[in-house]
Amino acid sequence: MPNYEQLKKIANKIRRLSLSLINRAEMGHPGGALSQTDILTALYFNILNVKPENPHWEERDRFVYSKGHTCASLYVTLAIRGFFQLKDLENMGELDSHLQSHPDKNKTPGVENSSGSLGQGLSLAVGMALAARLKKRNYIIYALLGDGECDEGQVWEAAMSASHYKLNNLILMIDHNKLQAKGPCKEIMNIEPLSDKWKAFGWDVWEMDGHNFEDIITVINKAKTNGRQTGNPNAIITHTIKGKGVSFMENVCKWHNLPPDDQELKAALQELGGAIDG
Amino acid sequence: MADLRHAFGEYLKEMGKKYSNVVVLDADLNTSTRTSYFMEQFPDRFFQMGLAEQNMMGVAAGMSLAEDVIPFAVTFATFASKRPCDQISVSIGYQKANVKIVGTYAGLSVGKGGATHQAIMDIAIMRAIPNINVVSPGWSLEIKEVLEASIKHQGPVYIRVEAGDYPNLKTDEEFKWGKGRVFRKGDDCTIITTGTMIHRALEAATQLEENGIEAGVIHFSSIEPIDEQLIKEVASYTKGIITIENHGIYGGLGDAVSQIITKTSPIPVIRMGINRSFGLTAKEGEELYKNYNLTANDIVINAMHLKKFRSFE
Repeated sequence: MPNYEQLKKIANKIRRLSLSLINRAEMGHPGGALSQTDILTALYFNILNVKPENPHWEERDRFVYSKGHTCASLYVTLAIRGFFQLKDLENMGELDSHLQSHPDKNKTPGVENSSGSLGQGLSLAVGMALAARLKKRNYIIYALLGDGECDEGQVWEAAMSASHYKLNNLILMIDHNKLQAKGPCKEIMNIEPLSDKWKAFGWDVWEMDGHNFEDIITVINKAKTNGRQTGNPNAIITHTIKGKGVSFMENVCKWHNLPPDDQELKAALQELGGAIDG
Repeated sequence: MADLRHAFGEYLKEMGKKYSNVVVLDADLNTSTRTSYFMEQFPDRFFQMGLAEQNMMGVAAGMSLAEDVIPFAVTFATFASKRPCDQISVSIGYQKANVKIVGTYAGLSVGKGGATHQAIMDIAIMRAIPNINVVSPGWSLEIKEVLEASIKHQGPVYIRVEAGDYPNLKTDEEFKWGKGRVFRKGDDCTIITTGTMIHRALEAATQLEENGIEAGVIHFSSIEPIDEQLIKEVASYTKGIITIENHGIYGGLGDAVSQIITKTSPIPVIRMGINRSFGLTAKEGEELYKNYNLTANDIVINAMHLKKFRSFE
């Protein structure tokens, strides 16, 4: 039985550190960093079979992080999980930092793929799943995409190929916070009905509340089992709120890529529960 | 083996036999690219990706990141370089993924495809992407050498393969990255080639000799890295350079050579290639080379022009 209270505490810490990170670096995408935090917490503190002390362990689960721009909370998650030191977060944005504005797999331990140009991650995940099958490996490949990211045609090429090859070792989550860079998805480029699209492409589709740990963990595990039974890749439409956790950021479009200033950060941290620890 | 497409297919299959971690990806063109030979021999290591080149490049990258496999992602050069350009740049180049991209039907080598199927800017594109080695072999055995060297090289490679029947050329040394191959030394002018243009250059050099002009011939299958040392050395004694490629004159071999010449030893460089226009439909590849002034005779004309301009006396 997962310790949900503990997970909530960790997620809260990740949110606080992420906003501080973005504020200090003077760059970042807070809205999407906050909407995905609970997913990342569940993955790195319950689901993923990984060894921080050995980031290249051959049997590890793979996590393909496709929505690269919102990496602040990925970095914080990886640091807290032990892939690198927390103090590295202080230099993010500086020229000599291994923490690039979008993840670089050749620089930051724990990062499986470089990203930043949206729409490419699912193809990488498909490649990993194919190679894993060829080499008869048992690890699972997880991927996290944004909903705006699903505008990119390459995503659908990858979707088609995953189904064609019956990649049941592949689990996709979509951070469906319903906003993209310059407005709501509905206004920019309507992607609904999203679930239906993935079903039509041959995936088994689930939906989950991206801010409820019990739901997240239950659904991901159900999807894993289901994949083994049906042979299909699994997609989980994860309902989230952009800016989750900070009342003045929730569902407000400008927080897509606006770093909070010192006052805004202070207000946000107060809502999230005081100053950052460690 | 003389036909380059057939040679590529056979040698890729041979590599598959020798290196069990080689896998091949296709975008629904396998009988045309001749990856069908590999497919028939190693069906479990052949991945049909359908008409989706962007996904194919990303999948190849993902495979190489996850396991010890060496993916060859193969399609026509024009489709390999332009539509999946960002995928090659980010997923392959930036990540330094161990993927070998092969572009066949390069340049004007096939007439029936017409402009949209003739790659005239692939060298330019691939040269500009960091971390990618770029190579353009000119005969069957050189294709074999290049395939093996690409497998042994840790990192991304772009191999451009033309079509057509060409004789195998004898060389003193085996293929090496960043090393040119000297066929003739010539004080009057030097013809620098890549890909199948070597054959036309050798023909031109013979004709020029009969006309009292000493033309050197040097072949660069390895365009990136390029043999800077050799270019500087040649520029120190030859009076003019002619570069020739089955590719556009923007951003290809000609520009690569000029980059080095202008830095240290400026001498005239005549670039021969497709002069910033798209290709055309034709029944035979040879008709196209004539139409775009890329025959041995055209090289001779340019060498004579150099002589007048530069005075070889």
